[in-house]
Amino acid sequence: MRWETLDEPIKVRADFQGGDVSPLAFRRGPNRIRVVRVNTHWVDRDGRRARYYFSVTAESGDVYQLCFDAGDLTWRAECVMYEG
Amino acid sequence: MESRVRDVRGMTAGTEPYLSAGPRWGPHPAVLHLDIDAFFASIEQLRQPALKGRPVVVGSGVVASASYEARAYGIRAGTTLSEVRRICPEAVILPGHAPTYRAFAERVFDLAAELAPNLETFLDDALLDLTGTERVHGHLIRAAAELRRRVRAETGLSVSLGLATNRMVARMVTRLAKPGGFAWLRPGGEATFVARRPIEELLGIGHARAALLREMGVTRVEDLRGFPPARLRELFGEVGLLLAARAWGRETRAVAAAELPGSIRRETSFDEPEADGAALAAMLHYLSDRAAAQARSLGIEPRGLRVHLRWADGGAAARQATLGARGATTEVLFAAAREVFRGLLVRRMGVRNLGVEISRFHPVADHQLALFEADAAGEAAAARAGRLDHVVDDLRAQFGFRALVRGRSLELMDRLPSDAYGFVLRTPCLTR
Repeated sequence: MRWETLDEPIKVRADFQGGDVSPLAFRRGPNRIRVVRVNTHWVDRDGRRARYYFSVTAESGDVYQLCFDAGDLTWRAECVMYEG
Repeated sequence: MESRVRDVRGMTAGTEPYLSAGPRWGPHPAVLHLDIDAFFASIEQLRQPALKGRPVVVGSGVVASASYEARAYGIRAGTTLSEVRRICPEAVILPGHAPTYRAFAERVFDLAAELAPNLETFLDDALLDLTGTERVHGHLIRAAAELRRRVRAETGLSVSLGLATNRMVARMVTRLAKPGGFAWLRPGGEATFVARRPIEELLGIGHARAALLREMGVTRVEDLRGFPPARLRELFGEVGLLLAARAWGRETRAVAAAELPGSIRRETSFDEPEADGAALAAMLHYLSDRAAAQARSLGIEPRGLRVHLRWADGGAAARQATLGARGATTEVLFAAAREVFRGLLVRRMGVRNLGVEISRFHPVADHQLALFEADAAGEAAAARAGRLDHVVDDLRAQFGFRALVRGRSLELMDRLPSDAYGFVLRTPCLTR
């Protein structure tokens, strides 16, 4: 298994409902990547800003780690995990 | 679900299904032990579904956490990674990410806190004092089972639970429930239950004491009962008297959130043995900054300092020092740590591992004003450094730890990757 650090800002279409947030798709460069499954999520409260982390599986099968910063309402793709 | 505790020898003990949990707990003390199964490895399997069902190991140098698939190969915490590669070449070895694990643990403990007014947490387990809460929660066994279900549903993690009348027996009962089970021992069954357990399971029996006792023919807890307390005291000091009581399943220490931690340790290992003095000083500064910031966030100051390292050939060295006032000030702590560290550099060899540990805490109080001029100048400088720390802490509280890199730690910026939590270290310490 291999992790590649991305640390890049992304635009995300997400579902905000009942106090929960769930990413549905995101745009990385020219590619629109659809999320087929949220594998797990966790919240980090280091500092006063909460950061919501998501491990999501894309249509391609790649697993991305996304981060939503509740302080400035921005999304970042932190890394992608490949098999092999 | 089939019971995982069968040999209870007539005691009132049980496991799932909870619907046949029997009578209520009643007015007896009730301590629930919650243990997260294969903690780090389980989280990695959640983050990367392709790892499910595969042997996963988290650690650097040695195993910190192994999935149950890895444990089937005999891999345990403390096994060296070279040994892991030898006995299980297909094992997936990951360096781990401490802040993520901490976030998951906090979520689990938040759920536990909804059940227990009094909670004592550790790295991957917790003790919940449920005494007297049955009126609030209803049947305690069912309430605990519901907690386990909620943890699974909300975090995806499997936890094992043990319920008993005291913390020691609760922990022992949990061992029977692992992984993912729930076992309980009803009041009155403690002495019978602990009697047949291996001596190593008794609280206070480590490797050395267990080896000594086994040499003396003591293999089960009940064997210890033949020793008069005075003899156990001769053998083990004051703890011998505690062991005499524990051998009968008696443990009186209350569940209580620790007011002050025993120690705060920050350490790392290097990819390659590090011999560059500037790089080592930078890392020492960063580790001191992390430890001091943690102490400040808890409103405590350390009196004890220990710097430890491991050389490239595996040899270890450590030195200690006593800190004066303002030991939680980053620059004061770093200055002391650097002094101690210099005393450790007695070999011409790279350093594989470096750590800073502070201990003997006391709450921060007003400082004694200096009487003499030279002292006053030093005190004024320390006070300025303390005010700087407050500003830095405020900024980091708002924007995260990596928002501000200080002093010698700047040297690390070209050497280490960073994320929202700061520099990404190998084997970051998870001590609370």
